[in-house]
Amino acid sequence: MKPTTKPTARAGTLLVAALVLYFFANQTQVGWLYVMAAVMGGCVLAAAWLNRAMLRSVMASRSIRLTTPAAFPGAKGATARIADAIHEGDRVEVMLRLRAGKSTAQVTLTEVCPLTSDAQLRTQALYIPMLSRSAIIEHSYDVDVTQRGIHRFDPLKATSHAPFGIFARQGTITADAALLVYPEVRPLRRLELLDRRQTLQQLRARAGHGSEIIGTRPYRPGDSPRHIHWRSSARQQSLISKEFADDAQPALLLTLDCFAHPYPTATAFETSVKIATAVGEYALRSGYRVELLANEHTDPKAAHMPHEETWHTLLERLARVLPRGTQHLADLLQKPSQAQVAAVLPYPDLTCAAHLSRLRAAGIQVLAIVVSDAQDEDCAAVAARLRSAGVDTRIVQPGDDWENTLAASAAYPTASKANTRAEIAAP
Amino acid sequence: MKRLSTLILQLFLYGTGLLLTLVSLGLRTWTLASFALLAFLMGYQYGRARASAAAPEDSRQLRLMAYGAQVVGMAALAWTTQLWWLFIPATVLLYGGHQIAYRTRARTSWWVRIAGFILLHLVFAWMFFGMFNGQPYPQAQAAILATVAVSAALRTRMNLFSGIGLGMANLYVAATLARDMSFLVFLAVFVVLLLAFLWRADDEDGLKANLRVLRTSATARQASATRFVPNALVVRASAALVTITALLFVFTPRFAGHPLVPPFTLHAPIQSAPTGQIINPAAPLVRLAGAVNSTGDYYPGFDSALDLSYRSGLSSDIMMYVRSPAASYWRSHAYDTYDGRTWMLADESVERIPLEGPFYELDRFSFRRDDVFAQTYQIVRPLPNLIFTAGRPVQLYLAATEIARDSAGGIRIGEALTPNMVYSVISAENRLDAEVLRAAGTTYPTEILQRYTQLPASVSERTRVLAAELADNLPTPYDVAKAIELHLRSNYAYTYFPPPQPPGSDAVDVFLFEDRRGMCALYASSMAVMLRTLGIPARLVAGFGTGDFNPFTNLYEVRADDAHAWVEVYFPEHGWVPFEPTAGWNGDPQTGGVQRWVFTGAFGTVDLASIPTEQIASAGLSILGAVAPWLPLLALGTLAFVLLRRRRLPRLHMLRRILSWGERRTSIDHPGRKAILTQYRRAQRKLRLRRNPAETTQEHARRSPGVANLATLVDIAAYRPAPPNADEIQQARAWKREGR
Repeated sequence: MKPTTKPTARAGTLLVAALVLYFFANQTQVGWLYVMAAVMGGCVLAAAWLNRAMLRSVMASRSIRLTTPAAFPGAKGATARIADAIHEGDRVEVMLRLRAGKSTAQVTLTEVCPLTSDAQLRTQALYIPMLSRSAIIEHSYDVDVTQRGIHRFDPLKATSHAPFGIFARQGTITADAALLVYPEVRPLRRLELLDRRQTLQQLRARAGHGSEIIGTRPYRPGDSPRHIHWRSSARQQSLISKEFADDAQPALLLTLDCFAHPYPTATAFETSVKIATAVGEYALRSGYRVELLANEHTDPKAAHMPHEETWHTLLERLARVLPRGTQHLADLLQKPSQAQVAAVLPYPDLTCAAHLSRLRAAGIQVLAIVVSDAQDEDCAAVAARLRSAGVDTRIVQPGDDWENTLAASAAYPTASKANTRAEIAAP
Repeated sequence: MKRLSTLILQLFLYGTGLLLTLVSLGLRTWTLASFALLAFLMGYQYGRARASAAAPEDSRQLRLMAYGAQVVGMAALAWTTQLWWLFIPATVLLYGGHQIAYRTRARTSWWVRIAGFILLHLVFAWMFFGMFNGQPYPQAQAAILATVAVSAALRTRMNLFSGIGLGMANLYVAATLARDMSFLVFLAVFVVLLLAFLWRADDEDGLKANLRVLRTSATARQASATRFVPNALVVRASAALVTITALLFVFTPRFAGHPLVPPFTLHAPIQSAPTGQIINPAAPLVRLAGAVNSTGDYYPGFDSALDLSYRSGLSSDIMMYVRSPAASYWRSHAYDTYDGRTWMLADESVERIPLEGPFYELDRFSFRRDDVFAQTYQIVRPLPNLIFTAGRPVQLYLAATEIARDSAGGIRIGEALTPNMVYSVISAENRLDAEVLRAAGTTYPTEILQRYTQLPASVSERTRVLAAELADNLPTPYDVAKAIELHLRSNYAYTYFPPPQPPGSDAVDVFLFEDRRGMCALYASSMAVMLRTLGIPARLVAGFGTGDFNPFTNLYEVRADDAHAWVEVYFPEHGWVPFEPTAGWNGDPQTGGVQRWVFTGAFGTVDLASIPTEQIASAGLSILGAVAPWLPLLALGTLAFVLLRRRRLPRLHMLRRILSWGERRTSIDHPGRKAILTQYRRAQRKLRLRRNPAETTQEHARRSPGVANLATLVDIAAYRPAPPNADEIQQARAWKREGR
């Protein structure tokens, strides 16, 4: 923003005084009145000149530091907290460092903190009565980060009336900073969709399904004698089995509907992101390969290719997604290669429900999580459609205790019990 | 939403501005247009005043600065007028007024307003009484007293601004009366206080309006305190202010035409009737015609006859100050008859001039407003009963019942001019260039020719021959006059004390061919006589030279040694034109054009380096000298103030309260809290058991069980965040009844 200078009422008062004195000086030819008029005018002009330099000399920088991380109950191993990463709910310290350059400054700053919704902390008016040349002033405050996403701090809005309050100069002081806030992680206790498959896997005798040996482990009853690593067994005086890479690691397609629906609600979408994070975290923790499909691109021709996500990349993507996609999620859900699909739907979309039903009919296990602000007819219709197709459907309202809703067992026939459309038809 | 009164005043100012614009367009007078602009600006400003400015001002620092600015304004006035007897009680009363204003700042106090209204009217009544009663500087007294009269009503910041405005009004009056550089010291202090006030007020606003105040850390302060570094902003602000002010002062045009507000005189009117006699109060009782090695204020030219054989020096005492936009010789009268030794006026009769309205009309001709200029003469030392003028005088503003004009056009009054007398003259510019004068011709009116070519028999032949030689082959009287003027300026030395004139000799002959040195009257006499020998009408004129111009006061300082004689030559259709034959004097005695810029006249002739520094320094030192006797008292007062503020003298409650602007230990605004604490104080007084400052209320209650209940209520009133409720206040009041 280009700095602007506006005269205050005092400038007008002094100029009026100067004019009056000048008028009387001309009337009376008193020399000292010319001097007084010049002094009054000089005050205004000197103030204008000095006021212009007032903001120019101030330099600012900003740093953000994590002070109190939010608790991550249950998250460990592959989904352990990433060092220095900031999640929703964390407390951070924002440090503002101000320094006057060549000249002294007096300035009022408006600091707008995008990290919090607390009105008192969000907009702070800071007054610096005197910032001497080369002196440094530090201002820090703690905020609880309430919103995921990329938060950019705007330049500081600065106003200075100095000296004498005759002119008001407004401008900005650059102290740019950006912060990526990951979504809140609420680890799930269980998720039926994924637990079922895991149970099957745990029963297998072989340590892994692939051919590549990735390590060894103590022999367990039932291990194939072919897979005993004799050299290690001889060395350790106990049987040691080879462990193979799990080439056929179970995969989950996690979908998040980011379509710019006509009546989106921010709350529902944010809850959806949290749920997607929780499901992704659970899947990764459970040994699943997770691919995230989010129709977030604003370009209608952009290709949406699901990628395998690590915990870090999953958080990175979910921190950034916004509900402004131009392609329908249903159009992207054509032929998933994964056996499990978890779809998080922040908007009760019947088209999407139809596609999910089709996937279920194709034998894919589908978990549909419909997030709705209210239990309206659309939501009920979507849920009915999905359930009638045998899709495990959970309806979640923002603010609900949705971890329990997701952890609960399905109350109607699911894929494990009935894999055919006929069976699904009889709830 | 704006208050109705604000709206009405704003509309009134806009209406006035519109009316003045229409009138100024009709009359084509820029001065009225400036008034219109002023009205518009004031209306605009009045509407822009911030609401915060109308809130009660709690800052004691701001109040102290406003008080200081007011005192400086009054001090400047007292210094200029020597009204110290008024200044000293006024500062004390002003302090009291601020005390009341601070204490009653929470809400408008009607009795304060009514008292201020009455006092203000009494002040104006006193001023008018003083004007008609010969009081010294009644306007200055009124300015000081008015500042005091309204001081109790200065409760808001806007009021404090107005108070500073009153201080500036005092300064304004002092400026109109100031004649030296000492005013600059007061002006500088006032400006510093004004800017400090503005700065602090801005700071207060910042502190109030923002929740968080960021200051440099203590470590940084300590680091910077290890060496003395003047505040860069203050240094830059000072430098900028001084530079810009100086530039504005120099490059501000000056419009010194006929003033919109006519000049007026304030001294008691002169009642005596003027006569042909010139009364010179400086004239010595015995005047010796021979050489006298003395200097004084007496100039023989300010007399009924100018005796060329009189020898006397002149002092450097300031005789009068002249405020004029145009440099000029200050002419008083002329002589027409020369007898070889003296100049005199053959016809000593005078013509009475009637008073027409506020002024005397000296010359009846129509002039354009822009062609005239006003001069104001402030008499410092006694001067003859002659009116000094510049250019072609048109109007005279003088408090006299009667004036008269002598036969040579000089203005006479009935009494000698006395110190502090002020009069103003409006004159027309009558500067004529050489070509115009060359074209004037030689068709002189007969009476002029007869009267101003008169010569005595004592004029020598060699004088006539010299004149003829100088005028040889010169085509016009103007060229002849310039040739004689140049000859005299080039070949003769100036001295106050030429040799005594031999008895029976002609003064001009002796000067031209024997002594070849002399004073101005001899130069002028020689030129006038030589011109007369050639048939050109000429006369000898007396008055004062221009004097030293001070660009800051805009005053010409005219000293006794500026008394001067020069020559006027008559040109048909143009009248009398001055010439300067005296060596060492300004060669152009014609009244200069009105100076539009300060540098056109001031810095062209005045040595810049010698003006400000020495004069300012000496002015500052002289003020310091005057203040010095009061410094020990001031030091004692400051010490007492500091001690009392620190509560080292616990028993002087009242004095301490006065010095602390009525501020108590805790600022208590709630009436309930106030009532309980007042009751507690009364109880202590009644029981004659005062609480020691070190005691808590409960400790005091143990010593004085009579106030036990009250002590608990005092704790509630003083420390509980919630104010006391009605029952608690009632309990406190009940103590009063029980006490009785």
